Parts: sequence; structure tokens; C-alpha cells
Amino acid sequence: MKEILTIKNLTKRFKLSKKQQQLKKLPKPIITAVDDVSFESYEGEVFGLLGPNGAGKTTIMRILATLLRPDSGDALVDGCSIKDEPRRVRQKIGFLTNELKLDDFFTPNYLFDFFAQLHGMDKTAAARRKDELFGTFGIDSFAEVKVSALSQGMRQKASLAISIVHDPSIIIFDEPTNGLDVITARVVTDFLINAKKQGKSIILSTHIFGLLENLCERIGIIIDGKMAACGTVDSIVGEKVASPPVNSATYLDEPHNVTRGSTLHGGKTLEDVFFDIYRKTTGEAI
Amino acid sequence: MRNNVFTVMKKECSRIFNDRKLFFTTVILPGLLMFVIYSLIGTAMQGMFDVEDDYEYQVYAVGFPEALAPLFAEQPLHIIEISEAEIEGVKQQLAERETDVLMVFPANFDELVAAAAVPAPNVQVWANFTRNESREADALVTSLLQEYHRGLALLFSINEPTDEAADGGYNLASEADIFGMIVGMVVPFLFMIFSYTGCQALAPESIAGEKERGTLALLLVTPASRRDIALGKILGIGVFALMSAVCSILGAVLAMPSMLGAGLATGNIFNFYNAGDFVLLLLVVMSTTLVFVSLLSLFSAYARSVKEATSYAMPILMLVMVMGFVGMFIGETENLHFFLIPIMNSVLSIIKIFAFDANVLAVLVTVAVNVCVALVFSAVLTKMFDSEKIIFDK
Ligand SMILES: Nc1ncnc2c1ncn2[C@@H]1O[C@H](COP(=O)(O)OP(=O)(O)OP(=O)(O)O)[C@@H](O)[C@H]1O
Ligand SMILES: [Mg+2]
Repeated sequence: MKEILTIKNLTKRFKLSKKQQQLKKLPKPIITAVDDVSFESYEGEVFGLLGPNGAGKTTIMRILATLLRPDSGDALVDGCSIKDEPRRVRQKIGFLTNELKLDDFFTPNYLFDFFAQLHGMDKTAAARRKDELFGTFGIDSFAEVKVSALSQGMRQKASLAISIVHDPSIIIFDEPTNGLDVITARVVTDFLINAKKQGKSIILSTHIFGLLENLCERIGIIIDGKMAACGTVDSIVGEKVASPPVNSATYLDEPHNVTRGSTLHGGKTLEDVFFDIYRKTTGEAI
Repeated sequence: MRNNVFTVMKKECSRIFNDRKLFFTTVILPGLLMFVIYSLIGTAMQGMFDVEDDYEYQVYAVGFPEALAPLFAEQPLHIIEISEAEIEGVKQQLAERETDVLMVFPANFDELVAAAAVPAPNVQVWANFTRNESREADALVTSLLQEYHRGLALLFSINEPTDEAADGGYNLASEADIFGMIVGMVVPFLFMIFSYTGCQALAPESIAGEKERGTLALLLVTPASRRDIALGKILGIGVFALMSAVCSILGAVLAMPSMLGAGLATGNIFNFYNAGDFVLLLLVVMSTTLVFVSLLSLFSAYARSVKEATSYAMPILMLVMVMGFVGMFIGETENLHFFLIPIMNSVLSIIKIFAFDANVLAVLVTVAVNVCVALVFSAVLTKMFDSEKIIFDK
């Protein structure tokens, strides 16, 4: 199996303002958001980052997307260093977050063409890609409607399509379903399942255990910027009983299962394991 | 890739074209406002100073000397002789703006004048300047008295009408010069304000807005370089700010004739200025707009939200206004050093162009300085797009 993402000893600190420092009750005006994190992910696999608020998930995703530079360590995206070849990395990745809100004044069609041009796609390639994506997402019916007039679900579909105009082989998705209503969340999980079927390598961060269990081959648990546990779902949850095989009909035919909570693994769910690790790492009772 | 600059620029432009309200308020409205405001001011000003043509001024007089009668009879003055006892009553009427003027001559005025008495006799002229007729009557009566005074002891005369110079003809300024001077006084400053507010309506949404919505991150993960994105944004906003600036200048200039009174201006400014003047003007306006846009872009990129970006705009406007004022104060100057200071140099250049004194070198210095400043600012904006502190500040 080809290693598609290699993350080596990534560390990222932020300087804090006085106010931020007081708010976080830190002794120094510096926060180590990502602390010596290493992991790798393989072609065609889904890697899930799990962690509480403020663990550093978004920071790791942004570093991989070349939006932040690490203080030390490096990451290779399909062989390209995020430090030395950020532009080549950008060609390979699609960076998605649910925070994205498209400009109200434009139509999905216009925005698609705009980003296709910035990705340097020629007209015919862009048109072909648009047919394909607008078809699968069902955007055709509202391609010429301004974003301001679209429903949440339509907007989400448009954002997804626009974020992957250039058909990236690696998808980086920060909190795919956070803050979305059930119907819109469904759009996103369907998208992920589809992308996985197409053999994309995906790295996603989430709070939702079910999504991870059903979709991910590998999981990393991040707590306070550190990797607390990392490995295949099986190795983390321990001996597993009656786990649904990957690509099984369980979730391909009923994608809503994905958002619905945990499957049993030898009596323990991923959720149980996560809280065990969290308690051990932080020493806090939950 | 030049191509990316163009793509980003085109999107900024279509945003404004797509949004009719924004287009109207940023591009059309300033020009329209300038035109309407100035036309109204012009009309109001004319009305303010006007007295009806066949009006006869009411002049009350105490002890009106016979010797003055022929001089006063030539003018539309209706003399009403009153006694000293009535003075207070007339003053009251003046205060209530009901009559025009009151003259009080000392008793035996003629004799005192003839005897060259010391101290010389004093003539009081009472009026109320808030009443147009009263102000005019005061001026007329005073000038008649002075004329009489001069006739008594004529040493030399000033500006007597001659064949060569008819009444008022001693002022050698041409109609165009007066026009140029007034336009030069009014337009540069307003242009600065309107052009600035045009940029201010666009830049925050275009940069801070993208940051707020997260679309800037999407833009930054494309292979397009930060520099292309920064330049594209600045040029895109610049095109519109320029349209807005040109519209407002046009509005002001077209309203000038009515401001100066239809009698003075021939109604067509294109009789006064040639194509060269307009080319220079356009160069100055374009380069100034670039300075505004790039400056505001920096602040918009620094701000965390559109709201914050808009709040920065006001202090910068103050700065722009101060620079504008200083420029107006300096007025026409040949000193090239002044043209090295951005914003102020634009005001100075525009004043010179409108005063028919365009100095090509000064304009070139202005444009060069402004373009350099805009380039430096866009380089800083590029750096800011690259700075995680700016893009992901919490
Ligand atoms: N630009 C920044 N400046 C200062 N501190 C930051 C910045 N970005 C992140 N942080 C801090 O770094 C830590 C990690 O943040 P991050 O957003 O990566 O967490 P997260 O795991 O994504 O959390 P969440 O689940 O809330 O999204 C947090 O304490 C956060 O406050
Ligand atoms: Mg996050």
C-alpha cells in the first residue's frame, strides 16, 4: 500500500495576546496547538482525527493544506513536502471545511468556473468536470441561481463541488458535518462515501464517533495537541466482533447509519475507548 | 501567471455588476449627489443674493442734506425724511427686517463739511444684512456717500470707467480663469472624499468578507500565487472605485455652471479644458484611486470581520481629509517636493490642472509616486495573505 500522507513530528505554536492568555489561563503567552504529532495514511484510505475542542485538529488540517507553516517537523503529501513545495501540494489536495460560506452574489456555475481557472484547468477539462460534479450532486437545477437564494443543503452541495473542481486525489475535510442539520449532514456523508468509493485518500476530523467507525481505516486520537493513540480502528478498539466490512452494504445502502452512533466492538464502542484514553491522558474524570 | 490576476479581478468586478444596489450606491449615486448638491447650492446662492430688478430701496434719512439730492436721485432710492424722534422706530423696523436702510446726518452737516470741522462730522448708515434688500441698499448708499466725499476733496480717482475698461472691467481675470479657480477649489477635495468612500464600500467586503466567510482559505489553497490574488483584488476594486471617482467629478463639474451663475459660465466645461487636461486628470485620478484601494485593502486584510474593517475606514478618511486640506491650503505651487507626498500630490495636481496651469512633470511625479505607493501596499498585502497570523487570527 502506498503511503500518501506522512506526518513527521509536526509542532505548531501560536503566540497569544494577553487577553487570549488570560482566557486560557496559561502561564506563558504561547500555546502549543500541535505537539510533536506523527502519523501516516495510505492511498485510498480514510484517516480520521478525533479529539475534543481545542485539541489541535483544525491546526493539523491547515498545516496539511499549506495554510499554516509548522514550527518544526514536516509533512509529505503524495511525496511533496508542505514546506518546500506548497504549490505542488495545493494541486494535489482539496481542502474542505464546513465553515466555508460561498459568496452570496454569485451562482454555483460562476464560482465553479472561477476556481477551475485558478486551478489552471483548461476550458474543456473544466466543462467535463462540471458536468460530472453537477450531475452527481444534482446541482444542475440550481446552477444559475445566486447562492443567496439557495437552501442550506444546496449551498453545501455547491461548496463541496467547488472545493474539488480540480479532482484532487487527497481530500482534507475539517469537521465535515459539524453544525449542519441532518439533511445537510447527509449530503456531506454521502459525498464522503462516494469519494471513498472512487478511491480518494481522505483525512477528516470529527467529533462524531459513528462517522469514524464506519468510514475510517485508521484513527488518530488527539488530546491537547498530542497524538494519544493512533492506528487502525481495530487496533484501537481492540478485538472486534461483527464489525461491518469496509464497503459493505451496511453503510453504502443506508448512509444514514454513518451518522447514527457506534457499532459494537467486543462490547466496547469507539466512544468508550476514546473516553478511556481521554481520562488516562488528562487525568480528568468525565 | 498574469491570467490569475485577471481572473480574480474579473470576479471582483462581476460582484459589483451583479449587485445592482451596490453598483448604484457606489458608482452612480456619488456622481448624482454631487450634481444635485452643487446645482442646488448654486441656485440657492443666486436666490440668496438676488434683489428684484425694479425694486426701489426704502431709505429713511435724518437731516438729509440738499447737496446730496441730485446724486441720490439717479438711483432707485426712495428717500423718506424723518425727525430724530422717529429714529428708534425705524431701527426697530430694520431689526425686524421690514425696511432697508437708515441714514443719520448730524445737524448742519453742510456747514460742518464746508468749514472742514475737526473732528469731522460723522454720518451713520444703519442696515440689516440678513435682508437682501437692506444689504444692497447699504452698499449703494455707502458708495454714493463715498463718491460725494471724493468729489469734495479730489486728489486722484480709482478705477473710473473709461473707454478702455467699462464698469468692473479692470479685473483682467477671464471668465475661464475664475471658473478654473473655483472648480479647482471645490473639486479636488470632494473627489478625494467620494473616491475614498467608493473604495470603502468595496474593500472590506472583498477582503475581510472573504476572510469571515472562509472563502479566502479556499482561494489560498489554489495554486494561484498570493501576489496574483492580492493584485487581482486591488485592481478589481480599483476599476470600480475609479468609475465612482470619475462619476463624482463629472457630477461636480457639470453642476459648476449653475453654481457660478448661468451668466458667467457658458455651460460647457469642454470649452475651457482640452483633451490633454483630461488625460492628465484621469492619470492623477487613477493613481490616487489605486493608493486608496491598496491602503484600504491592507486594513481590510488586517481586520477580522467586515465590521471591524469598516470601523478602520473612518480614521483613514480623517487622514485623507487632512492631507486634502493641506493640499488645498498650499494651493498652486511649482515646488516639486510637495508632489512627492501621496494623496496631497493628487490634490495639488488637480488644482493646477483646473487652474489651466497643468504641469506635466508634476503630474508625472504624482502618478509615479502614487503607483509606487500602491505597489508597496500590494506587496504588503501579498505578505499578509501569506501570514497565518493575519488569515487565521483568533
Ligand atoms: N491563530 C491562532 N492564534 C492563537 N491560538 C490559536 C490559533 N489557532 C488555534 N489556536 C489555538 O490552538 C488550539 C488548537 O486549536 P484547533 O482549532 O486546532 O483545535 P480543534 O481541535 O480544531 O478544535 P475544535 O474542535 O474546537 O475545532 C486551541 O487552543 C486554539 O485556541
Ligand atoms: Mg477545529
